[in-house]
Amino acid sequence: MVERDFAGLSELRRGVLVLAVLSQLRGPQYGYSLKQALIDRDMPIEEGTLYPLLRRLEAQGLLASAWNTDHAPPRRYYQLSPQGLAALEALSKGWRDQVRVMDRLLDGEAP
Amino acid sequence: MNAHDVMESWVRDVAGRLPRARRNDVACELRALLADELDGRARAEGRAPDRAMAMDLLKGFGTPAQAAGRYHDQPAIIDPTDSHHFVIWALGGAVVMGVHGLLNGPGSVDQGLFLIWLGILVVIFAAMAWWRRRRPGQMHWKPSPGPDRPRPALALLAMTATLVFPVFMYAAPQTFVQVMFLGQIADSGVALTEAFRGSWQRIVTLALLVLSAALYGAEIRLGSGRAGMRWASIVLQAGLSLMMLLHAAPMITPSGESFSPFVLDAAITTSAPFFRAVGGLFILSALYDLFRQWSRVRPEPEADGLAR
Repeated sequence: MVERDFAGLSELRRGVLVLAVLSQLRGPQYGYSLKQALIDRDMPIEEGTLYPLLRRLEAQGLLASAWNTDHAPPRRYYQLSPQGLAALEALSKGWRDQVRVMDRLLDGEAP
Repeated sequence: MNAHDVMESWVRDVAGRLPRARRNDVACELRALLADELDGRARAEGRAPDRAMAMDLLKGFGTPAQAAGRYHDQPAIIDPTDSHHFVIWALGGAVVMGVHGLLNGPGSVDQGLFLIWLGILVVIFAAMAWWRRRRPGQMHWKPSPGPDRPRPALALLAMTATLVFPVFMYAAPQTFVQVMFLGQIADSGVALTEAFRGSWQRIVTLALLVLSAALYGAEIRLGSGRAGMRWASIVLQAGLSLMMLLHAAPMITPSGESFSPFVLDAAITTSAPFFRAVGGLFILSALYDLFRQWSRVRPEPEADGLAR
């Protein structure tokens, strides 16, 4: 039963992963700095999940990226694209709506 | 191997699994990220990075195959949703070959035939999966009436065909040839031996054929959804397969004399493989109906399903 609870929490976290990542990419970040930013905000994400996710979001047009070779080692920086910004706004609204609905459900409020 | 070598080996293995166009780019990014991660760990642990630390770090990323899979979705050659049907078709082919080998001797089936069959299935299922990915909307689901839908016209056609061909042809082969070819072909080739005319094998076969036609008649009135009729059909097919196989070999009278269905030797030689083939088809048809009966979606829940 305990294991199932933990699996449920993982599912819950996985569902908000994209939103969490997009929320931290209003300004340019490279993979490791993004991971640290998320850890600092109590949202740790496995590195094996986060880095490929950035590529997938880029492929979907939500992120733009570019290599910065001014420093060693060269790093690939990611930032929200205009499409990603719109997606972030839509997802944020959806998330807040969902939180309101869930709060009502959990508090047992009448519809 | 030091920490750098370990990480470089891992990056190389990941990159090798990616499409060529993305290989270098992902490898460069992974190198930089792994270096950052390793530095972070070394700082946190207050010691220089080593091979063990690198190996532990890479555990978090998974095996190179798993990591590459996250960077690039490799389409499955056979869609996982098709696995069930693939196995059924593969086993179906094995059953057909098994029945063929059983009736014609083990040497009659080429040993590589099953592998060829699997190869053909892989190509067909891979083509279907590719087409679905390419045109996602074209192979969409369509509702079907289901196996129990009454088809009186089809049942009437099947009953008529059964009465004309197997029943009439089997009961009076010479008359059948005269009627079918308007007397233009000599009917002596299908003349029956006296021993066969009155044999129990002929009577039982004829009875099974008539019962098959009667079953189609019952289907016109009652529909095909009744379990009793499905089982009756399976039993009839099994019985007919047995009788056809008996026809292919010399039969024995109660007094121990050997006899064949036809008078002419040429007819006996020609008909034996035909009887064997028809017997084999009846076996396969009975097995297929058994499988359908076993895999049937029942309208009521199973008892243990209710208990859960």
